[in-house]
Amino acid sequence: MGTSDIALERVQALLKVDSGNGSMYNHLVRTVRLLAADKPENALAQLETLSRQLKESAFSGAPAPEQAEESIAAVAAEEQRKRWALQSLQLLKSPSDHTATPKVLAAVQNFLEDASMFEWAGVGFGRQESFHIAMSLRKLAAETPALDSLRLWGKLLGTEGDYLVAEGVLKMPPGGLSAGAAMPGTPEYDVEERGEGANSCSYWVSSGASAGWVRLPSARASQIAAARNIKRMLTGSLNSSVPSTPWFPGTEQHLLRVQIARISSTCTLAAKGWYEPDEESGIKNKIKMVDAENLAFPASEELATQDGWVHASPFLLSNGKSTWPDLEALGEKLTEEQTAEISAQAEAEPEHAMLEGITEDLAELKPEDAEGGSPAWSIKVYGDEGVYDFGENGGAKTYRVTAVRSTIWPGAVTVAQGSRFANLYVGYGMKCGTMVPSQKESGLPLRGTLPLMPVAPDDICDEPKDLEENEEPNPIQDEAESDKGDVDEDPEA
Amino acid sequence: MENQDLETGLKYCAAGGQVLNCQEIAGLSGGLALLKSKEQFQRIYFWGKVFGQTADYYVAYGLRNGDFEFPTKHFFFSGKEFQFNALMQPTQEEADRIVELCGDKPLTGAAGTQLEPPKEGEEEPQLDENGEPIPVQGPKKLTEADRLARLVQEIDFDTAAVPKGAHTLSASHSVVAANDFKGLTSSDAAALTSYVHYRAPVSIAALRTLARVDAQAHAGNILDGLDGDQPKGCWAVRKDSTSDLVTLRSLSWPGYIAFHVPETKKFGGIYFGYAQKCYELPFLL
Repeated sequence: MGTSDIALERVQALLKVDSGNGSMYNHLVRTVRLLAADKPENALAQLETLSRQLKESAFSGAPAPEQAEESIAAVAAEEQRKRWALQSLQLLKSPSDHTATPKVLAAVQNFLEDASMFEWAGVGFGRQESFHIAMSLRKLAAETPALDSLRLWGKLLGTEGDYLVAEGVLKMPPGGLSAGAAMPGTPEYDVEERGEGANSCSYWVSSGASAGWVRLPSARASQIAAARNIKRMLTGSLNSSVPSTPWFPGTEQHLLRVQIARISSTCTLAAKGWYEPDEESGIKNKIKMVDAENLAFPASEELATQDGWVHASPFLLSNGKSTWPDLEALGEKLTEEQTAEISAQAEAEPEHAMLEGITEDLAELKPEDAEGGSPAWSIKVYGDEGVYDFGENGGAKTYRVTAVRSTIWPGAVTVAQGSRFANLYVGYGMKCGTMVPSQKESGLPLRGTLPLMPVAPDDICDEPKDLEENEEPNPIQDEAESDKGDVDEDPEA
Repeated sequence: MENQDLETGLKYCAAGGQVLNCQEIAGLSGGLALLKSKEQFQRIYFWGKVFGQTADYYVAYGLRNGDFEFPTKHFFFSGKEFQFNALMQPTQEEADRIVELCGDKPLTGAAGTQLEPPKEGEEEPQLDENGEPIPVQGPKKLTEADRLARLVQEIDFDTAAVPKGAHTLSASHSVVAANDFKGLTSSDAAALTSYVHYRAPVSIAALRTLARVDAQAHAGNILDGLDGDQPKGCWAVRKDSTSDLVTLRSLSWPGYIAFHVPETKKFGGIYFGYAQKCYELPFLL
């Protein structure tokens, strides 16, 4: 191969350099092709014009955007998914730094262990969601100061959204909160103090396991009394109004709070012998766990009957509180009429002690010839019903799961396995009257279960007493006795 | 939902708070497989669990080609032992009698429970030489199984939600699963209008479409839509936080929950409840 060949290749390479708008070589080829096709008469004179036209027609400019580029169809959904993923990953992080000493949190229920117990009873949210809930409870415990204990209370379903509800006990400030007995009719009287009655526990709600928790306001006695007369489905938005007849004083968060209080009061159960009244604390209705050496957990046969269970939450009276006003403490501030009225109410509806058995619930609805316990509870046994002998130390054991369901608040369930038990509520938060016999006297369903509850008119003022009637006074005639004459004599005549 | 999809299906429905335990899933897989081979169904579907006071019923169904366009659903029930028995549909008179006798009372959980209170002076059923009761002539004695059959039918009529387009008309004019169904889009899946009742249609619009010569071309409208259900607002449509799952809850029959995973063929529904309809729903919303 000679040097001239190399030079030719170099020239060819130079001609083929493409600087973006085509190469010299291509341009020359196209020019010659055009000349051959058009056969102009004076080709040499038109060469520059032709060349320029060709050059301009070959200009391609910046490349158009790629047609097949991947695009996200639902931007909003994608954003939401991303947020959820970030939040749920955030949940999995340990609340304390790896290098530091672990942060000690409040007594949080081992929800995963309880969830497997609930699953046997057919109640649950799936394994992954249960784990998310457990982690979410941990997060709440880490964020809340002065928390004593925390557990998942349940899930309230609504039309637009659901509420996960966490129940916690806050530490009492030293010296207690007590501000003395409140007078009936005052705003202080309306709210039971923290740690008492409907406000024994504090509640937090969340729209989902990865969303944040919001603390609910305290339950008010007036709202509890009002909620007994209405039946509404929750919407899922805390600040939505509650359009109902009779009128409910508050928004959905207040309704939510009092429904939680009503359900807790009726449906929180404990195995008999697990708790005992706490007399040392000095607080009414306070209970504590029985010491380990005295603990006699009911056998599984007993748990499968209503005798094995007791109420573990203060009973709410018709005034929406767990107690009647303390007549001794209020002493002389009350008028005699008020004292008499309160004593009459307290006599008609006595306060309930803590840890009452469940067999007498709704005894007034029970048909006379019916056997068995209260119609308000239904007990079922699930799982492996085998009995296993563990020798002298362990004794006979069974792994079966006993579930106690409320028939007036469908969705409330208490589950026991071995010597563990837990309460949970999953439902729409509405009282149901069709599962229990109807009222004996009126034949109507259970009180407070009809959606239409017309209110009786308020007391009408009594008619005022008629005043004594007198004849119209006539001073002139009164002055002199009538002389019984036919004609009045003119005195001036 | 279909037998083999039971576990994943339950996971999708778990937001309603109801699940089946391992024992039940194990029992159902066995019981449904037996039922499928005994009744020669191509596919067997688990319908739900109906709670009673002392025990629960498990209900399943299979599809058979009926004389009408829509295949007939044959329902079966079992108790704790997962031996499935057919649920015989009561006649109209029997159904009326059941309502009259029981009203809203909860189910007991024992399928053999007689609904009618025993009459005064009625003799014990006479036993033949083998110890079997001799069938007494006269009207059929209604039992709780009949009541369950009626309730299941009623619930299924009001629920049975499936995505629109999942079923189509075949060339022989019967409703079959659509092969080209690829799932609803993410935005469509959140709308109530995209779901229909998987049962024989009753609305005039759907029947008129079925009667058309070119009915196959309008296969999207052959079933009744959920948006026509009364009262308005009786369905709670929920997109979960990942937007990868849409669930529909019936508020008329609390406990029924249907799901659909958008952009996939996955859909199904299940009922867990006391078989009690929420008649007062219009006043609660």
